[in-house]
Amino acid sequence: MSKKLLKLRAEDVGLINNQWNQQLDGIDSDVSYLESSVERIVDWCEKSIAQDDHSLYALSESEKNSIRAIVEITDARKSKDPSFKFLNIYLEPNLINDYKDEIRQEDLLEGIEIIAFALVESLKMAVSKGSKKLKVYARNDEMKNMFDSLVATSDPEESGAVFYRQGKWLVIETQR
Amino acid sequence: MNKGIKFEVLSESIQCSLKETLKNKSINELKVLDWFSWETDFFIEQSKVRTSDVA
Repeated sequence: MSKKLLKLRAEDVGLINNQWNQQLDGIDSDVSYLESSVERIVDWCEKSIAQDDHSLYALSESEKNSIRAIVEITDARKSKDPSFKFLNIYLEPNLINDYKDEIRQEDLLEGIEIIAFALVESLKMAVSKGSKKLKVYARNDEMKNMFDSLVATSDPEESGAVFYRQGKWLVIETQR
Repeated sequence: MNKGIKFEVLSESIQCSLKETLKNKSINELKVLDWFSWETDFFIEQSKVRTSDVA
């Protein structure tokens, strides 16, 4: 598999700055609001990697030599409800739908693939560090609805992981 | 690594569920994927307000 989710490094931030701004340059619509958004993300990444214990991960794809998304994951094993927390995924500009008048099926599927990869790799990370739970935060009702669909269609017997809602969180918990 | 979890099955299951949920949705409803991101949910709205003020 060509995708990887690894701790964000300084060289990743340089790639994000170049590639994501190049993508914005290639978009016909007015995306000036996204330019300030990317600027803010890059600034935040630079500040974060200066700290030893930051919580940002780069989702890279070697075939395209690109950073497709940044994922924010925190280790909450010492909290009252021990878990890893999947707080955000920042998609590359090409995968953002907000400015599009038409969404191509292949772009939609690519976005879904990236999000699914990020979720599964985050759960792998949690499990490899002895945690049984990955919690994904819902910021609005639409995300909660999406989580309900994931809960309804999950198959714990087949996958070995149970999905359930806990307030604003989607919990993915290993059974074994 | 926990050998009891079938990560490939899990990945397929998540993708199928998202595809099924988004099937036959309107363009606006398809933007649900952006809602995974705080940046596109909240900050972009703020940026839009700011840029429209400048204009």
